[in-house]
Amino acid sequence: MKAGADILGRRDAAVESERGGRPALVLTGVRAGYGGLPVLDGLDLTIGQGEVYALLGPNGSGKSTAARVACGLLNVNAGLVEVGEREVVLDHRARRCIGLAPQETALFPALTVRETLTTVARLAGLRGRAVGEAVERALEITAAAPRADHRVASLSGGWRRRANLAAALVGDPDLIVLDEPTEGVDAETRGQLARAVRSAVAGGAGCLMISHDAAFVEATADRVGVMARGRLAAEGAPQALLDQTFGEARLLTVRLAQPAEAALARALEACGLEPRDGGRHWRRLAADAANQAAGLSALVDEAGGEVAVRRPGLDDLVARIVEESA
Amino acid sequence: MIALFLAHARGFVRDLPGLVMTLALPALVYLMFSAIFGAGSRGELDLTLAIHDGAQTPASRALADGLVEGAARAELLAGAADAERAVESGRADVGVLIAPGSPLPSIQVLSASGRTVAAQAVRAELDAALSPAEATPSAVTVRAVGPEGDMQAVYYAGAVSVMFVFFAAMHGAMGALDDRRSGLTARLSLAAGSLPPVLGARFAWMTTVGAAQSLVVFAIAWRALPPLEPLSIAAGLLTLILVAAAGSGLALAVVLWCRARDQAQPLSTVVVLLLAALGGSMVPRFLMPELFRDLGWLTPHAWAIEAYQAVLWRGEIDGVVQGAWLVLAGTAAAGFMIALAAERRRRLG
Repeated sequence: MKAGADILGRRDAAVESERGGRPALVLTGVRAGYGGLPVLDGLDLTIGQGEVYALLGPNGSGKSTAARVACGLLNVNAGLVEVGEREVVLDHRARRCIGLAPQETALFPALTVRETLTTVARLAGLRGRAVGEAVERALEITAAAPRADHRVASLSGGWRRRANLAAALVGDPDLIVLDEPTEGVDAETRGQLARAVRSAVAGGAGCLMISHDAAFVEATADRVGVMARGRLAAEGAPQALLDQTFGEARLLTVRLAQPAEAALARALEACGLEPRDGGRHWRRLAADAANQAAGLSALVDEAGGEVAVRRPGLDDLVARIVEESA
Repeated sequence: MIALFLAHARGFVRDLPGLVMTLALPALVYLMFSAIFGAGSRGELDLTLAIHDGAQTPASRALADGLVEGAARAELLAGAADAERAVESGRADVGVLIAPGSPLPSIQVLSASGRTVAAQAVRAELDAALSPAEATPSAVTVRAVGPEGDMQAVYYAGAVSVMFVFFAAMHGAMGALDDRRSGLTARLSLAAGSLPPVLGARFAWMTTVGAAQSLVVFAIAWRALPPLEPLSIAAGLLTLILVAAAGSGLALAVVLWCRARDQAQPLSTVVVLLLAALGGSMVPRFLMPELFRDLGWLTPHAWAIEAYQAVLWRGEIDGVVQGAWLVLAGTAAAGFMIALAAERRRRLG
């Protein structure tokens, strides 16, 4: 990615380094787990100011554990966790610099959104007019203002997600930690949340995001880290990683209503496609995917299926990297 | 349907804590309750007697010795005033004054308000010992000592309010489990920089609710209370706040030690019921066997009820009251510290 800002205002982490900004989060050689079961195995991770960093990986790879460690919510067995150059477990000032949006909407159901944000802001140490200003700012960034005076319990899932994000932002944190921020939201809300995250980091905060929503990550993250077996298997800007991993290759997919019959299956296999889902779904990554698609389309149409060619996405990237690291 | 039934059964058997709470705890509670309350209903009262033998005749000495031997606890006191004082202060359930008489000693049973059942039981035993023939008129009289009024109403105002403060505290503490599950506790503790302010706020709120609950009960019982000095009112309020704090601390400790609501709900119910039964919230402790009376001192309920009795009924701030304040404050502090440790253990791994 080039230095500067794209349409969502994304900035290159390298720019921040040049500006001399201290990192928002540094994890150095972190080992951690639950009850003797190791999950993180020497994780190194740095998130710069103004940077959105998305941790990707299959279930159990250690993404949520990394987020908990970053927040000081899980003790580490070895290594160092620093937020704004303060050790997060030992220094409560480091923890106060973190705004967390948990996977569940962690809000006061009986309070209005505004009351909830005010409570969090006061707890974060804001006083007087600063409280109201911070609440209004968080409401504006997340576009939650239209429901500010509604009780949380009465809100739909999308509005709760916005309020959940607003509560993470209201204390003006140096590090924002988002755990599945788009779970259960529609496309419009996803877009608003993406803009909100970008606006939030525009002020200099760093953001660590855990998400299975590839589209949201591609729209929001400056860098992604792919986790496998408790450590980073790959890291970089999303497009750079995709280019590096897949080059000019495209993904050829065939979708069938029924498992492919013998003749069709032989033809697909001859083209190098691999079956999935009991022979209903076939795929192949290839530089000449477009040509192959043209050759197969008549055969697949006849079987009532669809042929498609697309650029590989982050889901494909994660699958490839995890496969390689295994 | 059978498969589903078996699936439920398999899940039930595999949930060991749930299994124990479902099957073993009710049996345990039954055994405890039958032991605690059974003695009173069978007429076997373990009473503490304060005896003064003013006659000092062979017959009176034999009677006094017989009372000492027959009672669970008995104290032979030098003066009639001492015996009266022991009954008034609640140190003894019933007093027995033996005075010279002919041919038998004259006997007076001293009963504080609220100890009528105990006094009548002692009188019946004395009647049986002194006048075996049913037609013989009783040589035993009963005299009330201490403040006049509806002591039962005062007793149960304390006993019931303590029990419900603990019930409400357990309910309030369940909210902390919900906040843990949703991540709200994590969010708030990050905003505050640490966990104690978050848990402390919940503790303070639960204490406020508990105190308000007790205030309502005592406001309703106000007409049954004897006239109170300002110092007694202040001491009563302090007791009430400490009871609420003890309930909050204990509830948070019990509930936050659990993984989830399905563990915490049955456990907290059993804890509240057992504490209430042992502590005298359900029936007065003097109706219980001696073992359970002694065990009662392990509960905040017994201390709280004794403190309310002393402060609101007798208008005294004695050693029992000060001890109760210490026990209640200690329970509150220890409970809060245990809750903090439990929450940290759950969160930090």
